[in-house]
Amino acid sequence: MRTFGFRTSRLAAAAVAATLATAGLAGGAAAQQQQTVVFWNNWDGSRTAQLRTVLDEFEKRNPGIKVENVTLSSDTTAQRMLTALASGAVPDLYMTQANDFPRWAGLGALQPLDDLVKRDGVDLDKLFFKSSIDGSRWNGRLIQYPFKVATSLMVWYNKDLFRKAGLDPDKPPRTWAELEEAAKKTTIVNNGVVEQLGINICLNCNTGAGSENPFIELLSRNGGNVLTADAKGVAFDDQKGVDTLRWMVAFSERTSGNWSNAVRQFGTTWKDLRPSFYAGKMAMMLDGPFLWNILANDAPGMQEKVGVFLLPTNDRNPEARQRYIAYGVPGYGIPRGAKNVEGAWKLLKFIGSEDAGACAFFRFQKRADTPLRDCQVEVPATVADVFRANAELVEAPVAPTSFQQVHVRIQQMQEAALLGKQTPEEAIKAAADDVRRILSRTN
Amino acid sequence: MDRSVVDGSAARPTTPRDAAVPRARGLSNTTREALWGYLFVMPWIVGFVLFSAGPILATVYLAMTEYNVVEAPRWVGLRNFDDLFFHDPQYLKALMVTVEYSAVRVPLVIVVGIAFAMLINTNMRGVNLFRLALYLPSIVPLVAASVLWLWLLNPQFGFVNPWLRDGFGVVAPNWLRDERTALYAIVALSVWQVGHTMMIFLASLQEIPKDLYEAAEIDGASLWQKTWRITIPMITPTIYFNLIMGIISSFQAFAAVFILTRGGPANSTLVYIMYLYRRGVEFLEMGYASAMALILVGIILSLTVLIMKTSDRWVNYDRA
Repeated sequence: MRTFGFRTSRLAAAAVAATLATAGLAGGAAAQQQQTVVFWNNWDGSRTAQLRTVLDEFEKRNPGIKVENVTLSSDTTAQRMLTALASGAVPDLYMTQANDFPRWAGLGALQPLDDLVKRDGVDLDKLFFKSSIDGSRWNGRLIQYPFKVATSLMVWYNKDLFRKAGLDPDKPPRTWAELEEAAKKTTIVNNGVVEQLGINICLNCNTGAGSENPFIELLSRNGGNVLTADAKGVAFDDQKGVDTLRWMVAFSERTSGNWSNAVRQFGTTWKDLRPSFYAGKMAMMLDGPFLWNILANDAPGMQEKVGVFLLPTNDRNPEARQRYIAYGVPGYGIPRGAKNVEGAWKLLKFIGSEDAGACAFFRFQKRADTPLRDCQVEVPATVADVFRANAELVEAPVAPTSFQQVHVRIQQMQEAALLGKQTPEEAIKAAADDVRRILSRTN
Repeated sequence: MDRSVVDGSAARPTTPRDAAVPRARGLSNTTREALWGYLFVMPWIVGFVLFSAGPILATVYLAMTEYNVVEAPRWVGLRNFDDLFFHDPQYLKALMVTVEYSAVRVPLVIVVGIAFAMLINTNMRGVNLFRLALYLPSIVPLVAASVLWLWLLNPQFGFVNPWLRDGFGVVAPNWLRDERTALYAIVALSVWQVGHTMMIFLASLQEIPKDLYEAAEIDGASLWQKTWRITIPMITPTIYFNLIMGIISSFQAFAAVFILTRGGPANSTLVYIMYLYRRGVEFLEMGYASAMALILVGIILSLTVLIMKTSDRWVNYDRA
C-alpha cells in the first residue's frame, strides 16, 4: 500500500511537473509572441477613441504587440508618474507636457533615444521642425519624440463681432497697438459692467492654473528672454520685461477698466472663457491651435465664424518680431525601467513620426500643430497658414529642471501686477529675485 | 458534589479554539489568551507597520533631506524647517489661509449641522423629505460637487450670478476668481455637504431625555431657553467630537481647492495641503513637503490636545 502510494505520488508529481513545464513553455512562447506596451497619455474626451483607432492600426501592423492605452487627467499625470518612478512600475511610453519635459529629462526619468535612432537610421531633421526636435533634447541627447509644436498662444476671434465693431475681419491686428484698438472697439461696458469683452490678455493668470504663460508669450514678441542662454540666470527683469508687464496692465485698464473687471464677468481660465467666446460674448480669446478641434465638438458651427492670428508684436520696439520661447516641448518618451523598450520604440516611431500614426491622429483631430514637416491635415488655408507660421516661430532654448517653479512664480508676478498689488517694476524685481534663488538651488 | 459544577467549568462550553490549540506547558490561561489576542490583531498591526508606521518614519527621515523621488535623498539636516519658518513667505500665507478657512468653516459647519438636525428632529409632516434633501448633498462625491459648484458660480452661465442680476439687480463678484470671495465660496461648498455632521447631531438630539423638556415646560421655559439650557449642554459631547474632526479635516482640505481654484487667485485659497502638494508633487521637493507634513501633524496634535484639555470646562457628560 505504501509502495503504491509512493509510486503514485511520484508519478503524479512528475505529471504535474510535466504539465507545468509544458504550460510554462507554451506560456513563454506566447509571451514571446505577444508583448504589451503600456502607454500613458492625456488624450481624453473624443480623442481617446480617435487614438484607439490609430493604436488598432499599429497592432494590425505589429501582430505581436498589444497596446494598453491608459488615459490620464493632465492634472494628475505628474503625480502618477512620480509614484510609478518610486515603485519602479513605470509605463513603457509616457506623454510629457511642455513644462514636464525639463523636469523629467533633468532627473533622468526618460531614457535617451539616440542609440535607437542611430540603429534604425532615423533622419530626425528631415522628419521634424528644428525647434521641436531641439526642444526634445537634454544636454545634447534626444529624450523624446515631440508630438506637437510647443503651444504658442494664438488669438482666435469672432468675425461677426469684428464686423459689428466696424473692424475688418480679414485684416486682424498685427501689433500691440492694433490689438488694443480692436479690444477697445469690441468691449461693451454698461454701467460699469463689462457686457461684451474684447479680450482677456492674461489667460490662466491665476496662480497655478495651466501651463500657459501670457507674459512669456508677450515678452517673446517684445524681443525679450525669460532666462539667460545657459538657463542659469534671469533675463526677464530687463527693460523689455518691465515694458511688457506695464503694457499688460495698461492694456487691461484701457480696454476694460482694469483686469479685475474682465475677470469678474468672464473669468480667466479656458473653462471660464471658452463658453463666453462660443456664445459671442467675447470677441477674442487667447487659445492654442487645438481649439479648432475643440470647436468641432463643443460649438458646432462656430468654426465658420472664427478666424485666428498670431499674437501681435510690440510696434514700439523695432527689434520685436514674431517668435516664441518655448521651455520644453510636449512629446512621448520611454521611461527608465520600462519593461518593453523595443515595443515602446516601435510604438513611439509610429505614433510620433509615421503618416498612419502621428499624422492620422492629428488628421482625426483636424489639428495642424504637428511637429512633422510632411504631415498633411485638412483645415482651411486661412487657419492652416497661421498654424504653420506658428510652428515655425518657436525657439527652444535650454530649459532648467525647475522650469515649472519659474513658470508658477511668473504667473504670480503677472497676477500681482494686474491686480494692482504691486507695480510692474516691483512685481518683476520680486519675481526675478525669487527665480534667481530657485535657479541657484536647482542648477 | 461534582467539582465542575461548583466552579462552573462544566457549564463552560469547549470552543473550537480550545480544541484546536494544544495546551502548551508552562503557559497560563492569561498568557495564552493574550497570545490569541495578538494573533487576531496581527493583520491590523502588520498593516499599520507597513502602511502607516513605515511611511510616518520615512516622512521623519525625508523631512531632513532633499529628495526628488528619482534620485537618492540627500541629508540636509534642519534646513527644510529653517526655510519654512524663516525664508518662505508663501508657507506662512498657506498657514494663514488654512487658519482662516478653519476658523470660518468649523463653527459654521457645527452651527448649520445643529440647526438642520433640530429642524428635522420634529414630527411634522414631510420631515423625511427634508431629511433626504439635507442629507443628499453629503453623498455627492466631492469631485462631482466641485464641478457642480464651478457651474453654479460661473459668472456668465451659472445659476447664482444671473439670478442675482436678473432678480435683484445685483452685480455679483466672480466668486471663485475674486480673491475676496474665493475662500468663502469653498467654505460654502463644505457647508452644503453638512449632511454627515447633521446626522450625528440628530442622533445626539434623539438621545436627550424627553422628561427634561417636560420639566422645563412645566417651569414655563421658552423655546430659546430650552435650546440654550437643555439641548446645547446635552449635545456638547457631540459638539466636542465634531469640533475635533472638523479641525482635522479643515487643516487637511485639498480636493475642492485643487479642482476649483488651485490655490488662486493671488494665493487667496492656498490652503496648507495645496501648498504641500505644489512643493512635493509639482516641484518634486518631497523633503520639503515631508517637513511641511510633520509640522502639520504637530499643529493638529496641539490643537486636539488643547481642545481635550479644555473639554472638562464645557463638555457635559451627565446624561442622567
